[in-house]
Amino acid sequence: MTTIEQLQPIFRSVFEDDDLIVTREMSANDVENWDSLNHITLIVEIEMYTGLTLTTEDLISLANVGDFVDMLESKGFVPNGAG
Amino acid sequence: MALVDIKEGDEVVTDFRVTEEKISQFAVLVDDFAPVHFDSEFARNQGFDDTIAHGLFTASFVSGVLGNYLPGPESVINELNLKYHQPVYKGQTIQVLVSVQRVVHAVSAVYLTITISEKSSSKKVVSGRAICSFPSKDV
Repeated sequence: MTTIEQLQPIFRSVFEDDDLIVTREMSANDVENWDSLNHITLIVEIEMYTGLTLTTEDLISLANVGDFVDMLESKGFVPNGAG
Repeated sequence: MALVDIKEGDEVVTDFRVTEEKISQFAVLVDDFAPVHFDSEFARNQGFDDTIAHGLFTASFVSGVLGNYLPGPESVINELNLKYHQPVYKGQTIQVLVSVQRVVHAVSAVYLTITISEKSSSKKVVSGRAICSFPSKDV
């Protein structure tokens, strides 16, 4: 299972869309409920799920979900079944 | 209390007395006069020992703890999820416990767990979680 597949339930829950398909190219502009409050909730939920500690610098230059996933993996997140 | 002062494991416990007067005031405030809150016979026929407090009345005490103590006056609620386990009756004292599970500095937010218990029996009546954030005009 890829990191995106593993995080997809969190995205669906936070953005209240059971049909949401998360892709590397997706950004906040593509998701109706991706507002500033839900962005905070998303990051909190992902920190809780991955156990990683993220910083403002980790988030500031991200353009899309692909960048986000790459950042998580560079900080040590290993998706299930990938090692 | 500022975000930098909060750490995982921080807790606040506060007691609240549930009175008939407060239940009536809440009913007026939210316009909920359902008989299970005011008619003892109706409540007993539904399987309760007596009239019960509104579920949101019980939950409302969380607001004071979050806003006054932990995370405190500089924070706002982003998300609140609660589950009800037991009814609350007038005359009971409930104890609200808020615990910090994680501080997420990247987005200036705190993840907290919430447990409300009936004080004399220690029975859990409500449990849940909250995400609170610290808004900043600089963001």
